Amino acid sequence: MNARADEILRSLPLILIITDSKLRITGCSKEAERLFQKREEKLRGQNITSILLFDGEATKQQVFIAEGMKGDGQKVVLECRCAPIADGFVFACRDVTKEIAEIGELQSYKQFFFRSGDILFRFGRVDINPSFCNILGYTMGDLINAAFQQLIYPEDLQKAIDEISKVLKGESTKFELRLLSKDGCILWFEVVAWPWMEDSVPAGVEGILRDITERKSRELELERRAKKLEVLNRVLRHDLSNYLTALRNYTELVREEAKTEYFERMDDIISRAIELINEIRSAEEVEKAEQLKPVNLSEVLVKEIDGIRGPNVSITAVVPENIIVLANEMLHVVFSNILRNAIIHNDKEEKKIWVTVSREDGWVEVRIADNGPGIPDEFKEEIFKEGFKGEKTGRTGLGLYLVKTLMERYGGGVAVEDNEPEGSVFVLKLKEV
Amino acid sequence: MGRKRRVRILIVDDEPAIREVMRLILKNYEVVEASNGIEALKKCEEFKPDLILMDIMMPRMNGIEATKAILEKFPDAKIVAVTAYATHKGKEMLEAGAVDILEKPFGRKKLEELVESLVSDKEKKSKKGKK
Repeated sequence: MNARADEILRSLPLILIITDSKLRITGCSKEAERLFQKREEKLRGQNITSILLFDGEATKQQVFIAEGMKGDGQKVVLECRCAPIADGFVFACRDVTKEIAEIGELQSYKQFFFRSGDILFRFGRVDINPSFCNILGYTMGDLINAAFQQLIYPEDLQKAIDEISKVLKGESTKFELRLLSKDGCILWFEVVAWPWMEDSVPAGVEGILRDITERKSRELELERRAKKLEVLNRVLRHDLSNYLTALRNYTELVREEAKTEYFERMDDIISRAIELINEIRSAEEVEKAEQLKPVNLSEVLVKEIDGIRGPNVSITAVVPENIIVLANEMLHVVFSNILRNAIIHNDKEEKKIWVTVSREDGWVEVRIADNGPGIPDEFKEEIFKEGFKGEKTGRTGLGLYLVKTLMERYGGGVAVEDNEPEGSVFVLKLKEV
Repeated sequence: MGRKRRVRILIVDDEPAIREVMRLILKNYEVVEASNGIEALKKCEEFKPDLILMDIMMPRMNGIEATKAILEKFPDAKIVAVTAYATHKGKEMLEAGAVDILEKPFGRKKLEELVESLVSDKEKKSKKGKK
């Protein structure tokens, strides 16, 4: 190479390295000296692979990536082009260390976006990670065709619109939202959203949706239990206050006049207070009851019927054997309450009860009829409500409230109808297993 | 005390045992009973009681609704709230127009004294009126 060409080569603002056919360095540009921190004289004669790590076959490719070793041992990534010349090769390289690092970083963010278990989204230019589909069961194709409003549980739509409007005005927000999965289930999400800014101008909404369905159902269950306990506490306090007021005053009256009828009244009040405490205990057990399981309805019902037999009580029962329903160990509370009511609230001398059990389309229907005074239409739904009070007795009956609570938990139902020619019929429906 | 007064007292409570002990304690007065708010309203029209002892939690019409309805028809009616929920529901009863609260479980003495004080107020007023 003549001196003039050599000077031009050395001065080019490119990382150039020239080798002989055995890849021994014969010359390089000043830019190469700067990068490898070695003078040309030092490099000359060294194999190029001592400063540039690459597969020997790479020279057959037009462009390849190689790892360069600087004088201080630091590594650089170089994009190299290799061209054969008369007696060797010329390597033209470009330092792509920074670009590669940036691509790596981008890939890492991409991985974060795609792998996140939470839903990450950006609306404006719609972008959503696969978790959305994984959690809610939609395909990306479904989402392209769907209006986002269709995915929101209707009751929460206005809230979602209000919150997103806030974000579009530049505020960040955090709220809870129910979305509908493809199979129609309602899932709870915690939404954290903030404005997506492009050149300092709000361009849309970015955020995270975290599936909190499990946590929410635990919270709702706790709330439900707290509400039930509040009801039980109120009933206990109210009815016990009444009983204690009556007892306290009868005691004072007895001091003045020891009438037998006062003692009888006191006995009656004490029995009712004990009954109330038993009912509260039942209610607690209902709350703690186990998960649903197959239960032999026939056995439970027959046992309860036998338990209420007595003088002046006539029971006609048709209960087929081994009917299995979905319930739990508290099923006896349902039957004992209805059967006891049929006797307690019956003003007839001969208290008659008819029990029938039938099966249809996977359901079991139990009908318990009596010849009592019947239940007026205006109370047919009221009697199952918490805190319903009997007009004659004045006490808060928890029994039917427990019946309804249990039947709902079993996925069944309870209703009351008029019996012909008199009395009422309690109709219970349970799922057959 | 001891002398039969012609003062009429209406006891409104859905618990028969409470109505009975109150009637036994207030034997020196003319006592009328009702087991819910609707019945209380009817008895007010029929007997024009001088004092009403009103429970709060009752079926059909509760004590608060009954107090409002009675005072609308009979603005001079004197109603005492009888309740186990003195703090919470008692306040609502006072807002509805009740003159006092008798908290359950109460004793004989407390009931007698309360009735005596409210009835003697009425007697004083009626004596003044006659003068």
